[in-house]
Amino acid sequence: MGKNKISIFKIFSWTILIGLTVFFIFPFYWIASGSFKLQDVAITIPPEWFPTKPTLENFSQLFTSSTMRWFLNSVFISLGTTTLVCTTASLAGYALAKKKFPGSNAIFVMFVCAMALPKQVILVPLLNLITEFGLMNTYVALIFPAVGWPFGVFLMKQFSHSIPNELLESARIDGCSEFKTFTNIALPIIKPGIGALAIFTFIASWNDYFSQLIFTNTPEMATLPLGLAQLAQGQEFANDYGLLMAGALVASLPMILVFLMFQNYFTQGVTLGAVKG
Amino acid sequence: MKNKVVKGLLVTAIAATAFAGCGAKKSSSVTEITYWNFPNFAGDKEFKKNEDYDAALIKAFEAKNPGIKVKYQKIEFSDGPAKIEAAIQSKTAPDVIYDAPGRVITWASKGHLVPLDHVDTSKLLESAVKASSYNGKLYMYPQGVAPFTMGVNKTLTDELGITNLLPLAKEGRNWTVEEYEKFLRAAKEKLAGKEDVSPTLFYTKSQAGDQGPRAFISNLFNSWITDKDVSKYTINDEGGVKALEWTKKAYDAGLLGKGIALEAKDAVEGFKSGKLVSTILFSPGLAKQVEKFEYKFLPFPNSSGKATYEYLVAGPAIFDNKDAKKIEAAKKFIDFMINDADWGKRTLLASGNFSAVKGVTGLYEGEELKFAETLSSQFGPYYNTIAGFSQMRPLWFNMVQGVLNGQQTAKEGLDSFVTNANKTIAEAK
Amino acid sequence: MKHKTKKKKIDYSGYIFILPILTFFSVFVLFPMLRGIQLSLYSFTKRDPIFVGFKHYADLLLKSNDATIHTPFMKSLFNTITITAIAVPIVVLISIFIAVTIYDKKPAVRSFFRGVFYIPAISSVVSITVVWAWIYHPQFGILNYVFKNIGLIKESVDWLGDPRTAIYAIIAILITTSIGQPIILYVAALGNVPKDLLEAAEIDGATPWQVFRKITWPLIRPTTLYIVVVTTINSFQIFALIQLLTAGGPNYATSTIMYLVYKAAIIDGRHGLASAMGMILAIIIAIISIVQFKVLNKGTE
Repeated sequence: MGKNKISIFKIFSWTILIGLTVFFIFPFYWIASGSFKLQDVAITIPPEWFPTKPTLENFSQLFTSSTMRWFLNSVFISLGTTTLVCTTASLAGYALAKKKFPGSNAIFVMFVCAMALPKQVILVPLLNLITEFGLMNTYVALIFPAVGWPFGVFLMKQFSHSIPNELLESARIDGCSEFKTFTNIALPIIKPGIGALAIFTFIASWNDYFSQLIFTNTPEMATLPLGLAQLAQGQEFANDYGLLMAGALVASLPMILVFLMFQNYFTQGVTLGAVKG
Repeated sequence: MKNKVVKGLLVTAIAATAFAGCGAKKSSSVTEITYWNFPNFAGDKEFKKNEDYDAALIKAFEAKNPGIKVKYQKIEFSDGPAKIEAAIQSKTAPDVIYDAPGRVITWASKGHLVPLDHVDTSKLLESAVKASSYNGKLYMYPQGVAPFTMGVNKTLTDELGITNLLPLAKEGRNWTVEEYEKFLRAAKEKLAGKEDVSPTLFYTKSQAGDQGPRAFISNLFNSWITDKDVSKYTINDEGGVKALEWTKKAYDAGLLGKGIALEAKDAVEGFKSGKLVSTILFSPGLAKQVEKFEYKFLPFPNSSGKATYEYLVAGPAIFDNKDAKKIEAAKKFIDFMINDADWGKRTLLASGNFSAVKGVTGLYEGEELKFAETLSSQFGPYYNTIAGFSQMRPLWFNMVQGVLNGQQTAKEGLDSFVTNANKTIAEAK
Repeated sequence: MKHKTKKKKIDYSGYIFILPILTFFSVFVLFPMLRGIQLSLYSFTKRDPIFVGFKHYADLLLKSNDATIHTPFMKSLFNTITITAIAVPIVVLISIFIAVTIYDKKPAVRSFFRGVFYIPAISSVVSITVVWAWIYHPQFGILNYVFKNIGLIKESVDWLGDPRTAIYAIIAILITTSIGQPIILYVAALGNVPKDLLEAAEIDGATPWQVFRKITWPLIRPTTLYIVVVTTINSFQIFALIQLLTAGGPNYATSTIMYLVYKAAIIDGRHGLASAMGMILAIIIAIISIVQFKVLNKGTE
């Protein structure tokens, strides 16, 4: 009897799970299939569940516009942010976990508090700052504020706790400088953490539509998400769903690939960052 | 060590800035100006795309003015306005913008623009000059004017067999609300089973293209958004209330589509792609984008038998970026755009607007554009330069959304709209 | 895991290590924060800034300047809280459910489902809005078509234009983008629940629900609380969905504080007002965070 119950329960939960899976997957199926449809097909009801006359027209139209430039901007901004975040955060996380100095706790608490802060809270002053420094439409405006956001410190502090104190002590006794100790002893141990942080940051900065929207306004500085948003808001292509879906696919695919390739790093990072909080 | 890190950071910052540097200072012989434009120039025979036309215009200008380089950027009607505001605030405003008085005069009132004292306004239409001026000074060089009308897809009405319900044969094509309703009902009936085509789309999501729904409501029962002197809002009069009530009823009956979360671009695209029988936002400029079918301009239905039109005034304005050289260059550019022997007229034609110069008519071929040109005698008071205009716009579309969704009656909505909109005038002064 | 720091000597080199991040943090977060307080006391709508004291705060919170400032703000505040209050519990429930169903399956199965539910979270939010705008479209959208064909609705629904559905339409998308991380966390947390404990309970004749309620749930509580905190913060930040799908409409039914700050600052150029909104929001989030952190600490100790 007990077994019976369990299997009914199981069937029930797998049905729901599959239902949820369809719900989550469908928009992406719709993006992918839509990107092969021409406009007159895309806005016909009843809809075509599967493109009967698939076309690459949308992609060729997409790539004649400035898509390559958007793509490169996105890559450059994400890489720049990732490099800086990983460097600054692993240094600080290591120090906060392994070094004792006056104010370290206060600083950490301040960082944790700031993590909860939505960016829009400081939108106006930040915009003023960017303007006064003449940083509007520069990569700096998109990279530096993101580096100031201290999520990485939090994550790297968690990882740094796992560095054995004995190792650090013996390095010191051997006469290693503080910096050498960090690069030779600490860094290899926290590498997986840096990997996780790198993927996190890369994806977050790729998708940081808000900053891109506010701190740039020239076509040369547009990123993939921004370029797509412009296509979607423009008069000419507003409802050209095929083209928009092609854009949506191109804007998201790199991140999905990054995720699939590094899924294990990712899982590890998410888990460690959270559970040991 | 500390110093080194700080220095390092600074160096990185400077290097990155330089690397990304926009408009790096070049040798002084060339003045570079930036020029932003909405998709305004879609009607040229040779350059079909806006950006291609603008590029050609710039090329021609630079050929004649070797000392000036023009950097072009295309902006959109939906997100462009926010972009310009952000640019003004971040001191990266363009030198030249091609726009309409609604925004231009607001910028002028805040001191962001250069007055265009060099322009001889005596030959220009008074209404256009008045709309483009603030405190007696001209801030936008009016190049074109055009009415906002309604439009119909005649190919489609022929197919549906309802062309006879249109006022095409009547004088000035004027029609009443009853006639319009009859047309919509017939269209809906004939379209039964074709779910992706609608009689029309009354959109009211945001301020993009909001002149369409405003002109629509203010016409039906012969009301107007403001009084004649454009000193206060008056759309809550009897006619205005009746019009909004009718709109709500027609919306509920499914005659006006579902446009609460859609905006002008959806209506334009829907009409262009044959998914709307008629549109409440149409103009000579938009008409140039119609390729697949025969279109007709239509007046807004008006119970008085004669429609009043909101109209567009369009032209370039110059931002004051505190650089005399750039301002000089910008002035040359806008003069070229309007007065050059070849490119002046060509630009006007590309915009699809009628000339803002007195007595210049008959620029366009074709019955439809000739008809549209005659409508200038029916232009209503131009209120887009009223103080606080930009604050009024969200009050309007949110109110209409509330009424269509049944959260308030037409009377309540319009009364509170007028009260609050009048407050925005006082606040902005 | 816990290293007590008592024995360690004070090590001033720590300052050098935190200096880089502290510099970025001070310049791009802390300083703007303080500057925001100052800006919120000025008005920037005229040519020159005017000192207005606490006028913006009064306009926002009290009933003056009704239609243009107070009403939109209160509606947006209410919407922000509604979105959070609905989205957070649903995210927690769905992700626990999925994690419970998949955590003891083969690694390949786990990876598959983790991937499926994480994809919306890592995709560009702009991509997500363009496809949902199409799905929800009253005329060409597939949702109306499907719902009409299976008899759920008779007439097409204007999902984003009707105040009764608009906010839920937005919440549904928000949920799809928020669920990936919680699932990963729950799968990990459930993996740490001792197997023999569960088996012992089953042998004692406990139903699956009892096992979950008495054993699993208390053990994954810290994870739950972390997820609640993170999802709350994310829900408060909702912006692109609003900006690109509804622009806050209909009649402010989906306007959120985030969107309103953007609108006031960027579209209307009301810098002082936008800063004041930001400050009020920061205070609200601070209060919520403090409460949640307190509960979180209780749960772990």
